[in-house]
Amino acid sequence: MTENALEIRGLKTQFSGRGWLAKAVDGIDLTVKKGEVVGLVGESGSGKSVAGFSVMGLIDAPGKVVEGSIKLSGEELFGKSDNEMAKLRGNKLAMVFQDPLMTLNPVLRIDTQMIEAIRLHRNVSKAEALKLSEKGLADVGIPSPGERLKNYPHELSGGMRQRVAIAIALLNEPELIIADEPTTALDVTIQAQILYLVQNLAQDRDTGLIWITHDLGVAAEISDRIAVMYAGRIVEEGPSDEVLDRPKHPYTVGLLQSLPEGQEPKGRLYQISGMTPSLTNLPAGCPFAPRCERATDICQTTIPDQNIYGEVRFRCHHPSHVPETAEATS
Amino acid sequence: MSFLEVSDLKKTFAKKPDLIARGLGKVGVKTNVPPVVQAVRDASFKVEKGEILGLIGESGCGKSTIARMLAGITAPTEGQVTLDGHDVVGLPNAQARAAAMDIQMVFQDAAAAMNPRYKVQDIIAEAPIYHGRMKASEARDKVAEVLEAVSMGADVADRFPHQFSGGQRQRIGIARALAMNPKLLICDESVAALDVSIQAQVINLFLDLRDKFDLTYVFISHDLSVVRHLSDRVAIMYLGEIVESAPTAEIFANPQHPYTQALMSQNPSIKNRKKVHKPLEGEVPSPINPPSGCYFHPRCAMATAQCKTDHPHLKPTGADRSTACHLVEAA
Repeated sequence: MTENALEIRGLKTQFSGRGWLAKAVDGIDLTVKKGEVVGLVGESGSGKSVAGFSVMGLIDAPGKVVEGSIKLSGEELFGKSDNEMAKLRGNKLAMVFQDPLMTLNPVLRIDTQMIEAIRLHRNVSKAEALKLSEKGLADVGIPSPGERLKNYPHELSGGMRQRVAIAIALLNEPELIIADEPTTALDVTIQAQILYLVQNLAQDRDTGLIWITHDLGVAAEISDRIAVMYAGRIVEEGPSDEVLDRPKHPYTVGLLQSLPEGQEPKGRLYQISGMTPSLTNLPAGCPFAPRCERATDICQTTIPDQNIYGEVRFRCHHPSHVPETAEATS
Repeated sequence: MSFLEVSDLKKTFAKKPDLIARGLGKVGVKTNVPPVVQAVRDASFKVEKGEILGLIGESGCGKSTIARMLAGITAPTEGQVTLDGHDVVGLPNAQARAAAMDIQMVFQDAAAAMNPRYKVQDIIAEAPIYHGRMKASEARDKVAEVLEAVSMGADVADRFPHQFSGGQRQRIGIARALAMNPKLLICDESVAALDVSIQAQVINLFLDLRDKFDLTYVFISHDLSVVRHLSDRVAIMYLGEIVESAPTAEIFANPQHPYTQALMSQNPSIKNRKKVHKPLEGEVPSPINPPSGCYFHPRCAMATAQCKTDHPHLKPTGADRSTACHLVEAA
């Protein structure tokens, strides 16, 4: 048995059409240990959701996972057929979406959907599956789960629906859960409940968890490690404390500085100049160079390799919090 | 007298009786009374000129309904709103309408608030020309002026909303509000949908514009760190009522209402690493059928017998602050 729930190496996912090619995910490496929570942070269009969908095998034409290796507990997923992936999804691999209504069928009762999810992958009787479903709802803190099973999705509140979606993801005790902005649409107090719940569930069950979010605060609260994505690449990845307290990449530095939290009230917030580059027309060198204060000539021409310093990997020619003398290895 | 005074504002949404109920009503037969939602129960607050009031609450607490009532989109069921001494709601005369024009709103989803077939020029100039606050002959220059105020070039005036990014569209939405020469801007979750780096730009813009155009804001948000950064005063809402109101520095240093305390401890922060403390339980109750006594008592860890029966009202609890909670001593 390997210790890693997921190992991604050199993953590339591209979308193409006549005369255009978008490198949505452009060579990412990511490892998720069992029971570990990895926060995948980035702004819209950075490729964080595409990365999640690539692992799930949910990339449809005109998109394609073109290269790389995705190992789920040692089992290679790259190159698996749709049928083989369908057997894994909902079983060893599960996903929780931002909008639970994407997961839930609006015309079926919760029990029907949960029983289906169990019996698709496991050979159990209906009665047994119903029992497992009720336990599943109880585990995610839904009061009177027996009654809730009889409800339709629209009869539940947003927070409850998200709990049901999480319960369904957990039903078959997956090795990896990918959660794509699952609390973004929820209120602060409900978000706190879900964060608390998921954190405990992942730990108790030794499940690997990738938490995709644009909110650094949420990532800080839930993650063991944080990976920051920009223009299809992971520009910095490491233990949460390292990334948040001693950010290496200027993009991470900029993101942290532009948060109102901890700044002088009414003071000017730091602004990262410019805009995210278009994925169909990326600069030749470092994609962040046009917006970067530290950019030099080399940044305009050469894409930075992956450097390692301590436990942090980053892609930058001029990192901060790394002594000049330190030998960066790639 | 304060610049903006809102007193006893109430909004009740009721379902209209259906055809059969109306027919039966005509012949004198009573039918079931349709449910009534008290979206805003009793809101009173004041904002001084140049001040920024942050209004915080979760979905369904009535904060957007207050915004829409202030902006004149929704008519209040009861209550008064005066801006600079003029009553802005309820009076159907020309003076009241003119005063209401001084209040403009910036929405969360700028794309949904714009006609996709209009060019930016028309989106911005339509309202001020209609209301006589801009001459059609000067529209070009005036639009260029407000676009410049939001750091956009005059050349964008001939483009359509879909040609812009989310952050740029929000700037256009702000420019449109500015074109009316408002005195008060209502911002309803105006930065909630933006990426972190873009959000910082728009927050900076709001602060710049306040100085430049002498504006007053009511800034509605669920994000405590944004409100803390921008506001002079903060009002916390729960289920249609203001439960605590205080100057920003004081409310963050010493939150009095248990709900405010819960919000503050649960706001995601980059300083909380692998946080484990237990969150507030339960959900916001339905405004159709609120709990007895204090609306917060079913979720409150400190609730007493009194909280279950008596409904607390806002009372002064310190210098310039008030809280609606039985457990907080009146000052």
